[in-house]
Amino acid sequence: MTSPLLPPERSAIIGEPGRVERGTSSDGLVVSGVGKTFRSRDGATSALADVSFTVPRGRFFTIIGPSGSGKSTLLRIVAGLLEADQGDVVIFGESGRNASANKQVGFVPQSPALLPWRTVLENVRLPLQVNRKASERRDAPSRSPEEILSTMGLGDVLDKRPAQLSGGMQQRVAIARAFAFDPAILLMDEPFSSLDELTRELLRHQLLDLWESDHKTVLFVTHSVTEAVVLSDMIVVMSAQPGRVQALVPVSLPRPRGELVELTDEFHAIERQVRLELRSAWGERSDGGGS
Amino acid sequence: MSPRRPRLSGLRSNVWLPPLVAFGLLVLVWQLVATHEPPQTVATVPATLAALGDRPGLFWHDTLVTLQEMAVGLGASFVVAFTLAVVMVHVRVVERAIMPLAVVLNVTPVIAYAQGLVILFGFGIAPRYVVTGIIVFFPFLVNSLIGLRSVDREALDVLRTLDASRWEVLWRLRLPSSLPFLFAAGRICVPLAITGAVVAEFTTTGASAGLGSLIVVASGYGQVAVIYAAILVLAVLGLVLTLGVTLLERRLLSWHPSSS
Ligand SMILES: Nc1ncnc2c1ncn2[C@@H]1O[C@H](COP(=O)(O)OP(=O)(O)O)[C@@H](O)[C@H]1O
Ligand SMILES: [Mg+2]
Repeated sequence: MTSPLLPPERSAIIGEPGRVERGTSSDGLVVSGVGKTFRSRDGATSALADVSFTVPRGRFFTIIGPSGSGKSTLLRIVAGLLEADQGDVVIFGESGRNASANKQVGFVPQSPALLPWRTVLENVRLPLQVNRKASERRDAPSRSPEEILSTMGLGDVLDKRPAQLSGGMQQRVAIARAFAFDPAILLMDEPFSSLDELTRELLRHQLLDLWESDHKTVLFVTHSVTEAVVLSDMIVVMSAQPGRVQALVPVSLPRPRGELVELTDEFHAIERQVRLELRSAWGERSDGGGS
Repeated sequence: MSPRRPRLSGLRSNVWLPPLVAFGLLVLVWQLVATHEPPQTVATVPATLAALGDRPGLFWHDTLVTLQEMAVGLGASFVVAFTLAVVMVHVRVVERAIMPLAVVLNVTPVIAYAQGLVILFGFGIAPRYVVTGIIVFFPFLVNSLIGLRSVDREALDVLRTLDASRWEVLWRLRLPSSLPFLFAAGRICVPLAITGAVVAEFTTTGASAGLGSLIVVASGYGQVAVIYAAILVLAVLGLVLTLGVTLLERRLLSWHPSSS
C-alpha cells in the first residue's frame, strides 16, 4: 500500500500544475439551469432549482451541502439516471444520456454496490463486459484493472470476494471499477460516508494518488468540509429546499497534495470560508456539518 | 420465501446422533404398533423390508416413473414460471393480469382439479405432468419474481450509467441475485412435486406405473407390506432430492452470506 504521506519536496508549493485549459463549452461538464421537483401523493418536493456550473476538463469539483440539498439528485441527473424538469446537462458536448451510451460516465454510488458472486477483479472488469459496442468505438483503457487495483493497494486481494473485504477495501474496489473503463467523467456520491474517519483519510489520499495519474474530470459529493478542501479544485456549496448553488469556492492549494496540506494556513482559510458559506446557506440550523 | 438455507454440518456426533435416536424411536414405535395390530392393517418393519427385497425391480421401475413425472412437472413449471417472472419484471401489466390467476390456481386444492384434468387429458401420463407442474408453479413464480427484483439498487444504477442492455442487466445482475430465492423455491417444490405426482397417480391408476399407483393397486389386493414399502421409498426419494438441491446450492452459492 502506498503511503499517502508525501515527501516534502513533492508537497512543496509549486503552483498550479501545467494543465492547458481548452475553454470551449464542449470540453467538460456543463450544468445549466437544472431544476427538479419530485411529485408524490403527499405533495411536491422541490429538490433543485436553477443549478448552473461548469466543470472544465481535468478538474476536480466537489458538491457540498446539508442533506436534502439535492446533491444526489443532481448527480443522478448528470449520470442520466434521472430526468431534469428544467435545464440541461452537457458532458463533453454530448447529452448525459449519450455520454452514458458511449460509456463516458463512471458512477461511484454511496454504497460499494459490488456484485457478491464476483471476485474483486471480476467486479472491476464488469464495466468492460457490458455495452461492448461503446468500447469498440473507443481506445482501450490505458490501464488494466489489475494495474488500477494495485495502485489502490488491492493487488493482493484480486481473487477475494467482496464479503471477505473490509468496508474501506470494498469502497476502493468500487472506485477502481469506475476508473477501469476510462470514462471521461467520474461521478461520486459520498463514497466515503459510511467509513470510519481514519479509513476516510486514507482513502481520500489514495483517490488523489489515482487521480493525479490522469487528471480525470470529477464531480464528487460529500458533506465533509475537510474532504472537499483536500480533494477539490472548486467547491460548489449548495443550499437546501430547493437545492441551489450558494457559492463557488475555488481551492488554489498546490498539487499534488499530501496529508501535510491539511496543516497549512491556506487550507484552514479555505475550510473556514466553506463553513461560513454553509452556515449562511442554512442559517442557524447547524454548525457547518462534516468533519 | 426466505432465501436462508439449512447448512450441512460436519460429521460430529452431537449433530447426527439426536436425529438418529429420534428416527430409531419412530421405527420402534412403528414396529410395536404393527406387532399389536392385525397384519392386514399395519405392516411390520421386517415385512416392509421383505416386500422391498422380494421385488426390487418393481419398486425401481415405479420409482423411475414417479421421478420422471416429477422431473417433467418441475422442469416445465420452472421454465414457464421463471420466463413469466422475467416478463413480469419488465412489463408491469403482465404481472397485474397474471398474478390473480396464479393465486386462484394456488388456493384451489390439487385433489379437486386433478380429477378434472384426468378427464380432460385422458388416463395417460400427461395429466400427471400437469398436476405436478401446477402444484409447484406458484412457489416458483413468486420466488422468481422476488428474486429478480431483489437486486442492489445502486449496482443497478452502475449498470444503467454504463447503458447496459436489459439482457445484460438480466444476465449479469438479476439472474445471479435471484439464485438464493430460486434454491429456496427448489427446497419447497421438491416435496410438493412428490405430493403432486402421487396425487395424480391416485386419480389415474391402471394407466401406468408409479409409486402412487402401486399404493392404490396394492391396497386393492390387501398387500399392506407393499403399501408401506412404497411409502418408505417415497420418503427416501424426497430426502435424496432435497439433499441434492442443498448440495447444488452449496456449490453455486458459496458467495451468499448464508453459506458461510
Ligand atoms: N425519488 C424521490 N422521490 C421523492 N423525493 C425525493 C426523491 N429523491 C430525493 N427526494 C427529495 O429531494 C430532496 C433532495 O434529496 P437528495 O438529492 O437525496 O439530497 P442529498 O443527496 O443532498 O441529501 C430531499 O428532500 C428528498 O427527500
Ligand atoms: Mg445523497
